[in-house]
Amino acid sequence: MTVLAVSSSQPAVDWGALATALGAAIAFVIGIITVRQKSTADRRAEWWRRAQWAIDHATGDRDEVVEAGLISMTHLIESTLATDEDIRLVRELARNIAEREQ
Amino acid sequence: MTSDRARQLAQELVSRSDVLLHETVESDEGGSPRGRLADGLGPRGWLTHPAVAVFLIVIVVASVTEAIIAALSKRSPEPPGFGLVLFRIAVVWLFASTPGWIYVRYLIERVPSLWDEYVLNLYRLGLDRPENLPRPPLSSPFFKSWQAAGGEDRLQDHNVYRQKFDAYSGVSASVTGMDRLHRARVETLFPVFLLTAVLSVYWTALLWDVHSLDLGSGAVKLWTCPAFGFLGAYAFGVNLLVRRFLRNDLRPSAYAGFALRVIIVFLLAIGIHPLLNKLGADSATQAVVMFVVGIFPVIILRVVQRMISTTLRLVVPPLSSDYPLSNLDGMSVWYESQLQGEGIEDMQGLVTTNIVDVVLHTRIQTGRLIDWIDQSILLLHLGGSEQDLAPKLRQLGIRTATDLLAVFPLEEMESGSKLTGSTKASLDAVAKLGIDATTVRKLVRTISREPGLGPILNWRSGRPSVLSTEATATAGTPSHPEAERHGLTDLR
Repeated sequence: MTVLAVSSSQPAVDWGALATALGAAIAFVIGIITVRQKSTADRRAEWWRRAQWAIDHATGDRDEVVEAGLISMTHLIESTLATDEDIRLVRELARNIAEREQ
Repeated sequence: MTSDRARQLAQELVSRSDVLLHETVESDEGGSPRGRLADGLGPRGWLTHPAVAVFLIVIVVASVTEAIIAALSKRSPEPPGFGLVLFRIAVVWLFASTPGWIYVRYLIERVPSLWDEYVLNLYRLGLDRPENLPRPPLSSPFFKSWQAAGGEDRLQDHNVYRQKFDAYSGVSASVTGMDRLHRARVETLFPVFLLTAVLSVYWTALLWDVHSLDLGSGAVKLWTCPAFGFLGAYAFGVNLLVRRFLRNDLRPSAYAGFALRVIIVFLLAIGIHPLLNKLGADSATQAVVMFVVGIFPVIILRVVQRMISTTLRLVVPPLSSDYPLSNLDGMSVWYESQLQGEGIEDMQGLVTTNIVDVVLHTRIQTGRLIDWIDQSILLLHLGGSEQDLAPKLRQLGIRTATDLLAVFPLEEMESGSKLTGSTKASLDAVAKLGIDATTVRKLVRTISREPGLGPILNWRSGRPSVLSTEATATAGTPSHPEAERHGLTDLR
């Protein structure tokens, strides 16, 4: 038979263990948030790299290249990574292309 | 130098950018610009689905923390053991977070398709002009008519159909459109968070003293009843959530009901325990009784309510309708109770109801609802003779109002002399059943003036709205191929 004896001299609350557990919980939450932010920042940087590529092509001279750039931009602005500022920029650029002389 | 193709692409890109920017303005009730980039919280008062998941995790962690502290400080009633502690944490995590996780999956998987289905139903029913309805999916046959009617210019306007959907579901699938981050209102999510917190605490308490589940150890403990009652409530609650998920009817109110069930069962257990002790029930009997109470607390309450209402009926005369919903084909007790919950108690209520609200609130299939309304129109117009005429008409295959108009077109019945061979044969057939031509003519005339017939004809034809701008602009009154086939030109 196992007898579980708890010493009467033991404090009611083990503050060290409590602090450790709380610290672990807080660190866990902060860790999740940090990983999410890092992931979002990385994906956004990649999005912007593709957007630059598309803008470069859309402002090119050859028709096929311009069309490829515009098609790419149409897909890129659907991404949740695109901010309102990005979409406004693309819109003005596209408007400029649409109003060019034939 | 720019090619025509490039100019066209650029123009489309401008239009699409406008749509996306309008969507983001619409979704922000405060009107201030916001980024499409997910920051978790989104516009004020809305949470994205990843943020909801993080909140759920935080709640479970907070609940389990206390038990971890107890285990680490050797104050747990169980012998210390790291493996056992980890196992318990895993079980609490799994059981407490599963209901919340189901809701996050619902936000991601089901809400967008529900929104599309809702919008397509609105167009197919032809309840309003295309430009007043929300933007239909690009691939739908209604998109061009919406665009031609100037729907894009009205994207910024507040839309009553969108507001109805958002208010009902508490989810912003309608405003996010192409956005993959589905948002839900914080206040709508409160029951989901509350339930997760309640379950976390309950499961933690239950697993940190497993002796309460040991039925063979001497006297019956007080904690045994709430513990087994909770197990019954949990089994039923999770099953209900999964069923509602599969039926696309998972609303935060289901979570509020689940949390309420757990609380009621806890209180019932505290009350029933002394009673069972008095009756001499052993711990196994008490556990079984409480498990059943945990599953059926509401049913037990309903049984009591029905007993009381049956008793009262002897004193107070029942208020029954002459046109009960139960007379309709395909109507079950379940559907009847759903419609009654929307204030629809008989056929007259069904014919005059707001279809959009019923479709949204009951999640009854639109085709089925339309068929019931169609049947109701015919049965209501048959009046007191319903018992005699309805079975006779059914012998000819006439079950609904639109069936009657298909067999006896209004145009032919009005003119009388221009009867085609099939209409004449049908009139002869009804005459043999004892229904004269004058009765049929009156019936066709009155039913064709029924205002509720428009959405039914739209639905059955499966074509774009009767209120298309082209039709209204040229004819002045709504027209529709299906309506014209029946000789109906003024449906509203």
